Amino acid sequence: MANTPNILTLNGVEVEDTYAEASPLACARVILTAETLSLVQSAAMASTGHASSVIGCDAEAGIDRLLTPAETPDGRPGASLLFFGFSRPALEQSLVARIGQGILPCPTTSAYNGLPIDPAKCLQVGSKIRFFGDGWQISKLLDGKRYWRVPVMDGEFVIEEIFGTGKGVAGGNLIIQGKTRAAALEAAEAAVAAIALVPGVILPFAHGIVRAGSKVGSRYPKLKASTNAQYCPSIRSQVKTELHPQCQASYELVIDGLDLASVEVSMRVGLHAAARPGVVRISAGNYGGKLGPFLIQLRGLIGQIGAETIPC
Amino acid sequence: MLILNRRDSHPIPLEADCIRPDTMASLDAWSISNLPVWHGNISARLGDYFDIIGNASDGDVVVRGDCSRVKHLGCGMTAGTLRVESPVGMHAGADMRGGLLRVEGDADDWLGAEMHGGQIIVAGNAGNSVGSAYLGANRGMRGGEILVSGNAGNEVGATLRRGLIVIGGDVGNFPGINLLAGTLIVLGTCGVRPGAAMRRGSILLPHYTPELLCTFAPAGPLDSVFPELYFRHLQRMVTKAGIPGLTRQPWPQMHRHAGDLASLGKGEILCPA
Repeated sequence: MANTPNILTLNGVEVEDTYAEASPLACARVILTAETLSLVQSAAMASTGHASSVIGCDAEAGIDRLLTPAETPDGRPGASLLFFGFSRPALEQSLVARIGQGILPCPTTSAYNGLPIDPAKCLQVGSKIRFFGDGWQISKLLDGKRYWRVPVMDGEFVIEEIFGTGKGVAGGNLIIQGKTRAAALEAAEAAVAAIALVPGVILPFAHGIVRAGSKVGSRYPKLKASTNAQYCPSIRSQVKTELHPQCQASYELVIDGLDLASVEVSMRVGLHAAARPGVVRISAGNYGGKLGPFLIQLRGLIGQIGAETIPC
Repeated sequence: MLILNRRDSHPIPLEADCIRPDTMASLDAWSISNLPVWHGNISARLGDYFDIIGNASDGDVVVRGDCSRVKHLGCGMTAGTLRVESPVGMHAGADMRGGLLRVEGDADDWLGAEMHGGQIIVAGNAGNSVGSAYLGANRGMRGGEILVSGNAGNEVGATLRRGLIVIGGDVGNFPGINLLAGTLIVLGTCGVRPGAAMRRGSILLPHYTPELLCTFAPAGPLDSVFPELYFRHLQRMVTKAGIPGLTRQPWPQMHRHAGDLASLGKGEILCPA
């Protein structure tokens, strides 16, 4: 039996008057560069792989955006990568492993810090990866930043010694319910494309879209999370469903950002992009306000997208 | 802003290590005038040789007049800006800890000797032993940056421990002798035996291939972004310092020579093939 939530409308699409519940996570930004864009993309994919959710991964990570040579410290093509973890020590461990296994081995790459440094809250990343140099590594202090030059088989891997952290916001989300699976997927992809233009946010799941939305816990004690049955159309007659009666499929977009404002902006542009024919309702996931301190009301995102909210 | 006008020049050196913006910032004109100096072997007051105008409460000190025989300008300074609109004598910026020393003319020997931090910019040439260790000391410059637009003398960066020295023109013999770490960049040519006895550190000679000691082992072209990071940093430095001509010429790919193998051997000289 369906609930009867308060409903707003946007472009003829129902928008549930609810909120997304997000929580703070430690975050870091890595500026990756390489000789070619292709190498940048390979290293970026490798280092941000298997990092969709801290429920089952060591971190949440993704490509924030690609950078032009003019935007990188060494004048080569690059990418801004965002990493989120439960704590700074956990994030440091993830970064050392991910840069060490995903970026360091990829030809011609370098890695630089992308956030301001607070000495009390920074991560020792380059200072640990340098040991790969087995005593042949060289330190360079330039403009107050220490770099490590680690000899590798095609020359040198250059990495900054410490990386700054911030208090990121993880768990911004939208749930898109479509009349058909194809319509829901098309709307979700449109929202992903719009959110990709927002700097400082990532969609950590594959293709930016989640079909396996989860709830906390399970009837099986070993599982921390299990399928969100309320949104599964094939069992809608057996559970207390949240799906619109005309909905045949739903997708979730999960958004992590460097701050609350960027998550809100990305949810806003995603909401507007997804509100298109074929979509019957858009809602958001929350835990009744018990999990995270950031409650992002969909009602507040419906207004027209102004110049101040559209990133460039 | 505090302006110190040297009244007249004199061949006997004036030792004025009191001219530093950090200590002058809290002093009034009378106190500044009474700061001790040595003129040869005669103890005197700063006010005996300089006209004093304004105060240094904003940390900004300008020195005018002939200072080519004034020693220890900015010696040990920790903050503020000291701008000298003439040549300066020996030991300018020695043991400096912070702030900016800008010399519009030439600088004599021991510029920035054993400095720990801050920045020195010289629009003209510099003498011998820029950023070096004093005789008997085991470590030279330990931090900060020295940028000399023109040429420099012998033993630039001797026993350099940390920091960056950039010479826009040519240098004399033994640049980077006994280098411990840090980076020395020479954009012109150099004299004999660069990097002799160096343990670690880097000497970059992007536009000149010197005759190296046989205790440097060639390692072929260096494929690294590290020279590019320095080139870009240098571009920012010279733009900020208003000496844009220094980095007009891009750096070619450089070859690495590891050495000095007669010492620890973990240093390097980078130069064209």
